[in-house]
Amino acid sequence: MTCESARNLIDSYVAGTLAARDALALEEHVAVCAECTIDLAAAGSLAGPVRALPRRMDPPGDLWPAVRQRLVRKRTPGWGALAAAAVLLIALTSVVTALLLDRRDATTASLASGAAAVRMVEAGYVEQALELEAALEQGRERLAPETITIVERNLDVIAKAIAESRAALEQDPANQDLRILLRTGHEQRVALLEQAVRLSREL
Amino acid sequence: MGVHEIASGMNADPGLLAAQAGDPDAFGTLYHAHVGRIFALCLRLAGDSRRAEELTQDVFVRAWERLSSFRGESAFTTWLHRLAVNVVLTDRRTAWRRSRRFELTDDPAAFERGVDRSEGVELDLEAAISRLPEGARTVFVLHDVEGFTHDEIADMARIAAGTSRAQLFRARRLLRGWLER
Repeated sequence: MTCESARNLIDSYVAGTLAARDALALEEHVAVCAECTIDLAAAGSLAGPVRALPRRMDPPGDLWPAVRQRLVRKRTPGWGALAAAAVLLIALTSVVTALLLDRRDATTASLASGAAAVRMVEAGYVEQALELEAALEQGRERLAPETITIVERNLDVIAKAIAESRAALEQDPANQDLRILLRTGHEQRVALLEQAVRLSREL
Repeated sequence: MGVHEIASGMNADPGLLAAQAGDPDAFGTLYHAHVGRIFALCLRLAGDSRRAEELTQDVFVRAWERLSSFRGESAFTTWLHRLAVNVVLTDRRTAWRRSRRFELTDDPAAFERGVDRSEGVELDLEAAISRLPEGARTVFVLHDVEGFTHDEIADMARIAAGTSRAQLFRARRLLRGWLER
């Protein structure tokens, strides 16, 4: 028997749950191995005192009021707030886009091509979102199904807002407000993905 | 899936259901039922009472945020304990990134470095555990006190299972040496 095998058996031996044959093999090894003798003695001498340790220890003060205060603060800005933010985003996008297109200055529309304006705004965001989506995919199984549903639903909402802003900017590439609107959509998408990835890693 | 659907497949504790539905007072009942065990875990892992109080608060705030993900596949106590370990170890990793000091190591000799041995002072087990180097203390508390397996510890602490075993045996040797002095 190697020391590694012996070490794997020590806890069961001390607990008295090791099969007789394995127990004999361990005893034979320990009889000729000083290191494993020490480990067996340490495990044996600590088992009782560890079992006697209290499982509960009350904190010196009452922590509940502070925890309670943080709950009220924390509960609201969860997924519900993100969902509301996403819905608000698409609603604002629709209204603001319509207004902005309505007062579009035709002379500025030719300053840059629509595609170039979109590329300029989206540079970096798309890659960042792809990386986060890949990370989220890896941690997906650790998230509850309803959490995934909420994330995906909100990503859809944001994607619609982004698509609408993108289409508007392509029509009116010099419009700074549309650029800001498109950038806001991407920032929301990245923030949502970052939060989802963080959640999947913490669980 | 709604809260009630989630809970329908488990031992639907009405207090737990109410807490999942967002009732802070129902969550308070859960808090008071479990705070003793969570504080004990945090205290033993952190080795410092004040930090343990902060971590205990963080654990329950995190539990509140994650409560909807509890699906009753394990006991609530098991779920909460695992979450508590993750909160403590995540906090430690964050602190490490700030301080660049961390003692979860594959080098067993490192377990003894930086330990205040306080020659001649007889220690009880609790005090001796608090004096263990961080890595050895973590594994000892999680394995011997809390009953996690080496594979579970390896997963949570992001170390190899072999490292977890090595740290455990080193921790036991240190503790035995101190307690028998």
